[in-house]
Amino acid sequence: MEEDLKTSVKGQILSIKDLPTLPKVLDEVSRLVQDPNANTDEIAKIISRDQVLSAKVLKMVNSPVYGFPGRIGTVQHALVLLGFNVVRGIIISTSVFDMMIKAMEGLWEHSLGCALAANVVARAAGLADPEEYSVAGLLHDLGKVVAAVQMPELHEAVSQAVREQDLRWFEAERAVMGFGHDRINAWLARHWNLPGNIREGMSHHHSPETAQLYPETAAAVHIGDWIVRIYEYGTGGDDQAAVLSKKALDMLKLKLSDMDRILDEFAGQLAEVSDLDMA
Amino acid sequence: MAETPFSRRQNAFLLSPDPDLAKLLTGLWPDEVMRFTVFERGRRAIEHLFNDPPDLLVVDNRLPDISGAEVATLVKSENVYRQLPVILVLDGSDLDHSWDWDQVEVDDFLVRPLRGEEARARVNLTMLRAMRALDANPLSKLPGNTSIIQRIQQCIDRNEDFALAYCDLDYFKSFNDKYGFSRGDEVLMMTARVIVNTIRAFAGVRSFVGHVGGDDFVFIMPPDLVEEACRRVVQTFDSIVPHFYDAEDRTRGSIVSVDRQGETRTFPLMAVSIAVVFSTGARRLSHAGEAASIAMGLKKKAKENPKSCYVLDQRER
Amino acid sequence: MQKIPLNLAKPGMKLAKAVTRDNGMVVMGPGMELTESHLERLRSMEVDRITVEGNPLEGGSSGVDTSAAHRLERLDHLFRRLGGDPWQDEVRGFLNEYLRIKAAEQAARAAAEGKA
Repeated sequence: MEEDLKTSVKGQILSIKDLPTLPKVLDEVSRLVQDPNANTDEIAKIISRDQVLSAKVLKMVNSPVYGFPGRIGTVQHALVLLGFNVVRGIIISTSVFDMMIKAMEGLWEHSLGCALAANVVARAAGLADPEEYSVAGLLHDLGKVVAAVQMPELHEAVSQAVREQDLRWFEAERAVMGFGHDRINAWLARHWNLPGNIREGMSHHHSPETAQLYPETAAAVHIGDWIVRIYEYGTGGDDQAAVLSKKALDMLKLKLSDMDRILDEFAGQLAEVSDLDMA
Repeated sequence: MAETPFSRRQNAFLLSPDPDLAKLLTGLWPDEVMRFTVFERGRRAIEHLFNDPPDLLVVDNRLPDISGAEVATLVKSENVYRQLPVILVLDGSDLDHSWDWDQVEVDDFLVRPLRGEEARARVNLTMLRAMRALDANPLSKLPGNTSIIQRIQQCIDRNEDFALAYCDLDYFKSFNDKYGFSRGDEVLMMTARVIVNTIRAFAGVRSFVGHVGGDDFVFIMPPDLVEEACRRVVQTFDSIVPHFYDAEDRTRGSIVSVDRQGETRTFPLMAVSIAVVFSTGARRLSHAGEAASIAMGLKKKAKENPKSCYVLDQRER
Repeated sequence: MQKIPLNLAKPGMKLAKAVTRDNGMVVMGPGMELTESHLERLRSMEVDRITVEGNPLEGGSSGVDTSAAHRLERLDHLFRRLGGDPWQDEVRGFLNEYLRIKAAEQAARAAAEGKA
């Protein structure tokens, strides 16, 4: 029974045709892509704040059509390789959420916050290419968005379980569906040929020790998720602290006491971005 | 099996709000010959088009949200999609004004009211013609040698000032030897996109990008912009190419591979070398071959530098 | 204009954007001057942030209350289901200590700026 549900959900998830986003960022990017003088860096900076647009450009550039699936892990590189026309095409074919905007807004902020935090953690741990950790952080809850769009009833059932039983979203997902958004992320990331590090960040951020190829990414996103929840910037669907894994710290050779400077740095950066109004 | 002019089943997209048109067109071929996916609106279809390009695109000019011409331009201005045949469906009145078919790069058009037999024949013909007409490089779909030489000759004949840049990759061979040719092809596809998009980012400039073959590319730009273009190609290529290596090699910044003599050698990461020849003012090229021979000389100089770099032709000009 | 946490809103501030419910229904329109009873009502509706005119909160003009003092207050709530596990207790102890020191720092800085 549970396997049946998983198979049918997987089919529904992967058949997603239109993934909407919030109007604010979309409006801003739409304006930029109409402006022939706008440069890629500006556009990349804005797209990097939106999990859906980021996912769309990365999915496109990693699709077999372009001939290098799974290689490109930053929005900046994706935009250069896709070019203005294609990016414009993606933007004009993206719609906005007409309903549940308010309910989803918090998830966008939570995702952006996790992107920042994962980046700060990666820098503190001395890892190479810290920008790629931002992308993994930004996309870590994409499965929740896709689930909300494709299976609104299940989404509502999870939400209800969170409210009524005081569960974390991830616990409620497993109680209702038998699996969490980490699994949904894994399906999406593989189906869209996203690079391995981003895929493992998305699909192993609740259990970084199970990541096979890129445990550092999974660990950085795990800690990032934990940090952004402490600051309650946006919401991942519930208002509880995440269960911080000691193994995740060990994997990055970080100690609890290293969190001092990580939290300092994160709070500073958060003050800058949270000026941006997402809705 | 129904009679078919094609070697496999064709997938077609129809972008039209008109249910009668959809019914007529989809009825013209048995499903195993051609399968249509119908979109009633244009904008939403574009992302699908880019992610999963069909074999044929039929665009109705009656689309409410985007003009047929704009859809055609989006498709035709991208090297990876431009071989896709595009047919525009018009109303008789659309032809009251004249169309600039150089701007609206469709392969054919059909006019309402459609006659079934004729529409089928025209569509079949358009698709077969598109398959034949491909002078493009099979990998990158960029214009190949014939088109490159034609274009250079055209610039010379018109007495234009232009700069001609020859690009190739250093250590591509050793990358191919270690990782295999399909990984090598990935790098070539990436290089093609980097060059095309860098050149195209100069808005309103007459330019050209061609793929000679293998790791050799050519682009043509106005002389005053070419150095900036080279700088950007080098910078972008250098920032992206490490991601095409396995993590271990990327961290080390080199690969270990066995050379043609069977010796184990260490090679740096790939780099792009660009040699630029000018045809301006007093110093004009007389034919395409001259450009190539000057470029070969410059290339040697560029290759002395193992890092990505460009060399401009410094002769009197 | 500035997006601020409701608990930092004061009577006399003017709304720069409408306050809406989850279903999009407008509760209060832009331009309205806030009174204590408005604030009371917004609190009862569990609105957590509003956008007001001007820049009433200086310094970290963030839309989220990242002040250490507020984080400290929230800690018990966030960790309500994580009690009893020694590692989680250690994590929480660390945060408690970190935020307490930060809150003291921030309070001292605010006091110094107040004098200057």
